[in-house]
Amino acid sequence: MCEFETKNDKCGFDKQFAIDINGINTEFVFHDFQNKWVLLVTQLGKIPALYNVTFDVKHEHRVLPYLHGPVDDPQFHVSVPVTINCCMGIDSDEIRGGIQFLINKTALNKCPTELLIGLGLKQLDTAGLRAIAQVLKNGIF
Amino acid sequence: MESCAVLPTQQMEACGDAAKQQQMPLPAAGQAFTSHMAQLNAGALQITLRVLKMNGSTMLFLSGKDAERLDEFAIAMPARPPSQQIVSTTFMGESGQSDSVVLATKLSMRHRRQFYVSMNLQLDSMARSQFESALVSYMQNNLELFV
Repeated sequence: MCEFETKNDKCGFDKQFAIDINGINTEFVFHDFQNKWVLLVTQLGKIPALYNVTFDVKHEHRVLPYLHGPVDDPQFHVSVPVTINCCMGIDSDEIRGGIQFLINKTALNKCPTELLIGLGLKQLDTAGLRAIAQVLKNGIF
Repeated sequence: MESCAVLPTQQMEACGDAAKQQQMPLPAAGQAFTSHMAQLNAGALQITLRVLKMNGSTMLFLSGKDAERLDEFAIAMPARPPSQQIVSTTFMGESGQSDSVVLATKLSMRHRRQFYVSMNLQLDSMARSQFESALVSYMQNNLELFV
């Protein structure tokens, strides 16, 4: 008789935690699979949509235009080139914009494979996204 | 609902009374997520199971112990009452009847809950029945970790 054996009953992924962002409880889940990174960030208690992100430039050739990464100045702004496909749920430009923002601002742009991301935010605003980017920097990467 | 979800609070407050009346309350986050990891070691069957329990839904990742991949992903959930049917689809990987959607449908039927399943295993019929019985008994013994 073969049986499953619990190896870790506290955290089943590389990272899984909840943190308060601008007064809203936000859940984070991250795991590095062999062929995909999975990142779930949600304030809704569930996943409203899942997007698959492929990077248009290979990892070793993904040289950002500036050593310190994309800049905020609109005149010199450069985004990491990606293709975002909505696999499940409601597809919205706002969420796509949020995903692109997080990729530009965090080490998500160093993903060597594809990225599966679920972003469920109650309010999609710059302050919230910046706070999430900071949590990703400090807590995951 | 969608517009409320993307508008900053200030803009939402700036909407007129009519718009306010149409606003739906944002869903409550509910309980915190929980997750755990388990492994099956039985000869050729070397499987890692990762589970994320969310509010009203559960996510399962199944893959080989040595090579944890994510090739396919499926979802299944009970249809709205009074229908007793399960609606399901594969949204990543194989189209049609994938292993993931079969397992998701079975779990959703049994527990009347939304299940996301990513099953990345190559199993013959003998190994499949062994795996399924192991998973069912593990879930029965640790139900609070799943639903």
